[in-house]
Amino acid sequence: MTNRFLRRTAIATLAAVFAVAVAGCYESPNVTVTAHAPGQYKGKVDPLLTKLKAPELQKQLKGRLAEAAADR
Amino acid sequence: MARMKFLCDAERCIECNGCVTACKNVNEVPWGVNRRRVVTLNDGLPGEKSISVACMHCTDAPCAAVCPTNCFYTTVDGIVLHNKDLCIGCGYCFYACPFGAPQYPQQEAFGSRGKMDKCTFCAGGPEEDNSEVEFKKYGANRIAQGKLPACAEMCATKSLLAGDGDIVAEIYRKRVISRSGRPQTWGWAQAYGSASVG
Repeated sequence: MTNRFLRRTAIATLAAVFAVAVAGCYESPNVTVTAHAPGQYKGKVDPLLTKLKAPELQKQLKGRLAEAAADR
Repeated sequence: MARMKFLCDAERCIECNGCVTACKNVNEVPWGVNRRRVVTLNDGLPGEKSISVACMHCTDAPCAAVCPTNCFYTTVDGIVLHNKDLCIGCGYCFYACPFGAPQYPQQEAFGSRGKMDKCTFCAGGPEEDNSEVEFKKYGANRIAQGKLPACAEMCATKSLLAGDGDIVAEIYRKRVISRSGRPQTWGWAQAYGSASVG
């Protein structure tokens, strides 16, 4: 009788300890998950993308082509 | 907005490999990797033709379509670039590319592939423009400096053209007119018969 009582108490204590230990592993819910659509580039943004929109750079590149491709 | 393209005038290319050397020198491309190659057809026979081939910066790039990590992106000018931090060196892009542009440096023993390397149109990659990190990973970023790819700018016979596709096409059109006759770059005679017709 006493043995059964002790066994039950031990099991209950172990279950309580396990529950507390598992609860300790819980992550805070404010973790943000970044979801990407398939086929979409996920990497760092290339600063050149912004630079290429500048008309000055476009003009410079066009001038360069006219100069480089011209026959001597 | 311009759409950047390469065009190699087969009538002018003399197979000097100056473009290959310029690319290797400017980008410090490692041994075993060739971002640009000169291909000669009917080598040694009368009428042989050579063209310089690299990444053609396709409008609907097959390399980007098959990449499992989606490491490719296209600039507003149509230059196809990739992120080496995302690349896993699987080689799918190599199988997909009709020009054999993607290259893999052998970094370790047993032929294991490194990160994919290809022509960047001298536009670097997704790092700070002209930084040491960018140069180490992707090579020179001449576009950010307002310059065109070194291979084309170095071409002695002006065979290799690089830049806004519309201007490139116009330059080539004028050359064809001055040479008189249809351009044979895309195999007009083979497709439509005699080159002199029309």
